[in-house]
Amino acid sequence: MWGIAEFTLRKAKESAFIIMFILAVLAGFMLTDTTGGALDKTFEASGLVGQLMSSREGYPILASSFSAIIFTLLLALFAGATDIPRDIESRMIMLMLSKPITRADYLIGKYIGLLALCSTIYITTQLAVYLGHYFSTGQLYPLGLMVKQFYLLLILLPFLSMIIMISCFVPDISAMVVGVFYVLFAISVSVVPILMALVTKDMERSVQTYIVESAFFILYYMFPNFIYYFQTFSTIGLIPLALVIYSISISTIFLTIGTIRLNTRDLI
Amino acid sequence: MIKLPVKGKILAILISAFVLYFYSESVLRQGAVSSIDSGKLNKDSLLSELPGALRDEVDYRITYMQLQEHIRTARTDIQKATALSNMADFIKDPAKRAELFLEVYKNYPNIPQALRAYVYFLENNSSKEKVSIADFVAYIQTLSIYDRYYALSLGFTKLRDLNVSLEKRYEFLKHLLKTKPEFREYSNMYALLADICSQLNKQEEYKLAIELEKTSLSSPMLETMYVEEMERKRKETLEADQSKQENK
Repeated sequence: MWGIAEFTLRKAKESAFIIMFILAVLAGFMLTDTTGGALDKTFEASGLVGQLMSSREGYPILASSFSAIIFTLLLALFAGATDIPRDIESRMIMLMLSKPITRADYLIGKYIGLLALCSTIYITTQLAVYLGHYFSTGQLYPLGLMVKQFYLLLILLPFLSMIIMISCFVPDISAMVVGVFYVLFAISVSVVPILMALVTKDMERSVQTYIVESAFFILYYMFPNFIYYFQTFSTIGLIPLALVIYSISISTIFLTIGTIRLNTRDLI
Repeated sequence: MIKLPVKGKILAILISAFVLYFYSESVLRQGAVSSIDSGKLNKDSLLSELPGALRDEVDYRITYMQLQEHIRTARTDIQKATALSNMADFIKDPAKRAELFLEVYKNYPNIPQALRAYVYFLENNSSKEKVSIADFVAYIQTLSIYDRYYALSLGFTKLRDLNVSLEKRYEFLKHLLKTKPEFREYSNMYALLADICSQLNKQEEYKLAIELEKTSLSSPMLETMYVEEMERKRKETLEADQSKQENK
């Protein structure tokens, strides 16, 4: 499993990755100058997203971190969607599976390798942002704020596992398209349960309401709620702990489904 | 240690992952909800994000909560009667509606804002309280000339909805025969009265109603009179202010 992860990480030596790496550093410096403020200021305070990002005590997400994570997620989308289908297409997978590893080990190894790769990009961009801020203002961001930005790395866990799972079912380009639609739909339903909890608190529900609510929640639980990663919360506490458990549990579900698919599909 | 088959392992992993997923999601959701200041939220934009089937019920709930807040914050009798009547008109539960109107009728019977409660209990045999036609007409007489016509129209519509007898309708309108019509709008009422009188074979009353209908048709419109009165009041206030300044 670790061998597969190491093998995946070797992509870092490829020229494309080195270019991405340089771009990430440059983008980090540029983001400091252009969007150094907190992300909550870009959303309307009367909206739910604006409230989630600004109301709680704790450190907010920086706009530069938001841009950095979007950049990283795009990389994760490309890398995650193409890696396994290409291994299958080039028969590389057969070579790897001839070693004493299971298909689950292969999948988890790929996942860990890609996670390390994408995390490197995000961390590098983030460090460049902090350095850029230091060079332009002469002072560093507060430590808590800097630590808080790294919580965004958690979003990579469900995102990568989701795209890897999809890539176990369909070829690379299709995996990217399906992945994008899946994420878009996940975003579109993300605020509804919070809203429902907010306005239907203590509400007497009719049978019809129960049916609609239940149907919605069945659908909702099929998608990770990415909005939780962007809310303002304290660096240490129940919310970050729940976020870690949430990310790991979703990733486990996705990877398990991916493993089932890989175990049952014909790789030749 | 128990050694599970592959399927068993997968099932165990999935079940525990799902349990953790549901639990952590509910913690995150509760955390998100508790962090939101609902007073700052724009209700209309939020409602538009809800599924259609839920929207009506949630909308009802929000309005209900707002009306409840109006009742809670009402200070004067007028505010209280208005808030209670608004809630009674809005609420879906008929028993609760009757209860609210009863509260208005019992506590604030002599103010114009009690009109909706009077209309609700007018000849209402299904509720605990019943307002007779005589009581309703007596209440109408306490109202201003502008409110009177509106109250009369509401009362008559209620009687028509209840499908009461012609005699009762005549009883409701007969006091108009003794008064000079103040507005042109009363012509409708006199026309109705004339129709009822002809059906009840009350010749004298019929003739009088027709005569008064003609008189009312030559009277000014309610709206015109109201605007004129407002203008007169405005002038009076201005003059009073001017005289105060001159005295100073």
